[in-house]
Amino acid sequence: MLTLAQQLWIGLTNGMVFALIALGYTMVYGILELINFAHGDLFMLASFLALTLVGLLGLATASGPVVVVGLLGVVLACAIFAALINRTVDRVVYRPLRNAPKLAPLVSAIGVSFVFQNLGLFWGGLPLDVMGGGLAAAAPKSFPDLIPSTNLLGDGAAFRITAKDLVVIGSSLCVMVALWLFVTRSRLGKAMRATAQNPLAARLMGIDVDRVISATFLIGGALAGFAAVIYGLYVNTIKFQDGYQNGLYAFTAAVLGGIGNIPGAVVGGLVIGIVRALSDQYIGAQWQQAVVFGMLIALLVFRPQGLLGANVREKV
Amino acid sequence: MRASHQECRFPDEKGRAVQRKRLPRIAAALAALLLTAACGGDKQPTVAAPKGDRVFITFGGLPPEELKGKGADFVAAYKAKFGSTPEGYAIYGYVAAQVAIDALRRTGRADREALRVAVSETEQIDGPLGSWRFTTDGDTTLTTMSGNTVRDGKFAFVTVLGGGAAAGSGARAKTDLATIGDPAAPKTGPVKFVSSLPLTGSASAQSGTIVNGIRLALEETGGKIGDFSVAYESWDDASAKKGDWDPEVEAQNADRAAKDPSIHFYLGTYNSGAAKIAMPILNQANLVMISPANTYTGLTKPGLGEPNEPAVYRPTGKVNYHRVVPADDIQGKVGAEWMKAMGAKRVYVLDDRGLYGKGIADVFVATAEELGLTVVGREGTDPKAQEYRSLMTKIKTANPDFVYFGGTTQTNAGQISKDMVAVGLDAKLMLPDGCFEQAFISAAGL
Amino acid sequence: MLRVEQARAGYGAVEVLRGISLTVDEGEIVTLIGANGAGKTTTLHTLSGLVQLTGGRITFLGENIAGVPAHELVRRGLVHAPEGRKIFSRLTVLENLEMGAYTRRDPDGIARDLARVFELFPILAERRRQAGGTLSGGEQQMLAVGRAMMARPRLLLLDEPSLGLAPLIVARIFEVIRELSKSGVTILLVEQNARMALRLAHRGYVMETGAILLADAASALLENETVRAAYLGE
Repeated sequence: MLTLAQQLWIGLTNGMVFALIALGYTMVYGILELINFAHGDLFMLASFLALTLVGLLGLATASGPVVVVGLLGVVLACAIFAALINRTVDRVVYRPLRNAPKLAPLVSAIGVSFVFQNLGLFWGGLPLDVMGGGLAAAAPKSFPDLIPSTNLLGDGAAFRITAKDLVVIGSSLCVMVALWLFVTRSRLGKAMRATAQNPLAARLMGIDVDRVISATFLIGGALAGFAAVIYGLYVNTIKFQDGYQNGLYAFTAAVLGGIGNIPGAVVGGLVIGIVRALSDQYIGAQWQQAVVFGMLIALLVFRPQGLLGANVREKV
Repeated sequence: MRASHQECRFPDEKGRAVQRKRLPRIAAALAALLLTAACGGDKQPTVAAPKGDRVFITFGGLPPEELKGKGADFVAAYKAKFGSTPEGYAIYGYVAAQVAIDALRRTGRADREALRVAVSETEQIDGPLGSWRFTTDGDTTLTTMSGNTVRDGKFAFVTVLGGGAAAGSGARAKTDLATIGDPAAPKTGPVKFVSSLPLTGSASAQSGTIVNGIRLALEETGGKIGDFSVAYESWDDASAKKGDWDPEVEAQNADRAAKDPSIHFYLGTYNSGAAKIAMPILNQANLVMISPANTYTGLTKPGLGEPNEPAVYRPTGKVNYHRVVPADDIQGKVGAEWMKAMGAKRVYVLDDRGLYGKGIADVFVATAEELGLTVVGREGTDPKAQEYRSLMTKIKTANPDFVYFGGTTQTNAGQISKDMVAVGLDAKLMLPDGCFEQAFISAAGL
Repeated sequence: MLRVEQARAGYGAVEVLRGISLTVDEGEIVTLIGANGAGKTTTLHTLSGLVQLTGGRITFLGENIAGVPAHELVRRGLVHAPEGRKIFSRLTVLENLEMGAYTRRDPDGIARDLARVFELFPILAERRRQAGGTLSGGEQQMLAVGRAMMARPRLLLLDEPSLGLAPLIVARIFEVIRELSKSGVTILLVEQNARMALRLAHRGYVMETGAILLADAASALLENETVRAAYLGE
């Protein structure tokens, strides 16, 4: 019983990261019907920035309060970095293809994903101490353990809750609530939802759709940047292929929750995190991917619109 | 109507007001949370950093610092030339190249068949690795291994393991090389050496050090072997797409080498899986292949791999493949012996489901059971998984005193080491030579 | 207020509007009638900037608006309530109306207009927390009209507001259009119910295959033999 609870807790914590990345997929898809394959790799680049900054600021050996302030700065920098890159890619790559067949931006997104991966590979080879001194560009990079993972319930306790878990869950929840308030309460957020539901009508309401799209890429990117720092702090390892693996799970989460649906992405992320944990415990670690994707297939057969998805969106 | 008018005041203002009030509160909560987290432990935030001395790594041969005689000379020459300490595998690249050079000297002809026979009859007396020769299956007779741990961010030698005579290690009769192959084969001109190793991707550090080893051996010849001039090309068998060795690229490399009559030595591969692809291609071209790193048992040893191994890699029936490292049957075995000697009783065995990792874990399990260790669990891992907390939590309930992971740095050994600590799994970790590289130490944050 | 001269437009290589000219004066209700596929909807789309003008001129309030993006035209007071209502089905009724006022920054004026919409369509006030997609067809049309009103249009382009609705609701919608007109909104109405449209409008244009066939006072068109035969079913 305690083991089950422990696995649920681990799954929940992991799921938060998937959910944060999934939000970026789902928001862009909602507006452009574009699966932004580069999103996972954007997340990876942000994680490299996070590690670089942690190294430059010397946070690994700093004292508690400095670490807190430093990390807030790193979060901010990574969010801005990823947001700007995401928007720039939209401006330069996707926007000229706005009226092209859907396949064109999709293939371009895959191209961007490769460019990002190679940038990550290059970045990993920089002669920085945190990157292993530039010796092995592709090797996994250790992200310093800035938040203690000692058991808050005591060393011998059967259930394990660490400060690290609480930071991941707590800060992710805060960001999600803020995002929710933004899309439901703010003028731009509402315009975003309106554009996602009916871009033509949105234009006729005087909504500058290009601006809304830019804002979507900015926000999705910022979430990926935030997720990257959280991921680094939690998993403590980053590598240039992380974008692929996490992107795949996050994209699955978005589809699972109903692509284009913001709460759906969060639910999908948490479900995947939990299924992953339970599958490791009760089925076997080697079946993890098979179980996750099997679940996706089963869901798509019985509920193609996803867990929270509305029925197929009305066409213009 | 007036009432409803009042009520329907545009909620945008209300909404913004709410946000204005809530956002700082959220930010404050976040900051507080981080603060408690960072100050929650002791003064040092890195208090939970994993300790290197609970990690044990077996390696085929001795680590560079422990090498004596010509081995120590090699390390000194390497440091002088490349400005860094060689990684564990560098010396095997060096020796593989020496074997090839020696064979060419003895043959004196650029003939593939004669070179193949010459290589198979190699005998190094007091070489960098000591004294050894090849068995009829192309294995080295060396069985000396080392047990290492990690101290202060570096590998630290602990003990010598194994060392008995290998099967089929008896002396071999020497053939008169002049009678073999085409007597009219060229006796001068260029002879090309190629290596096929994963230079792109996560194994690039070990590959790079092997390439350096090869370069060093070739440069010691002064560019001339007998009347031949030496050319060397370092090929990559990895692709950026895979971030690791790529079967397609390896097949292309082998094919290219087989078809190029100026190539006489194929030094590689690093990964045993890649060797499986290259071996039959090169065998049909009768081109000598010397691996500085393959350890999968089935590549050479009948009865220890799949039923059709190793015949399936030798369509012509001839043995053109040789390796200068001890195979996994020896490493898996000494690993289990070492673990037993350290007083372990219960071990949980993981592998990355790859040829190397699973093969070595299989041998480990067989020996461990013979020695009376209890294998409390056996599982394959997803080498691309982000983290293994769930798996480690599960392992924790099995209460082992050791975890054995058949895998490499690229298949996430560093993450496994970290996540053991992250979930409070208080067991030691043993790893095979695929993790015997600095990149593992840095990935594991040890 | 609006002057269209020899406008040409289409989709890709297909030219739908083959040089149409029309004018709408301040305070008028002008209707555009014609068979399906005559180009009425394309005319409205071209006016509101959704379809690119390929030839001719469009001036609104004395300014050339060719190439001005759709969202900018809304700001200038040219508002288009499209065919098929196109409400935001997962936004609430209230949010739909708010979206109508997207370009405006005068909270007091917005609140007044919102009250007015609820006054004209009390059912919307009742359902303001409901998702737009859950409304009936008639209610959705009311919402579409109400949403367009929230933009405080100077010229309102209405496309087929009666499509698929029960007669009672159609009557209600037309009543509201008349009231809007009285309050000073200029209206260009596209309708397949030609009789109702001509009864409401001051002037009318008859379109056929991308060109204006007839232009006259609405009352005259109601008497016109061709119109009676082709569009009034007499």
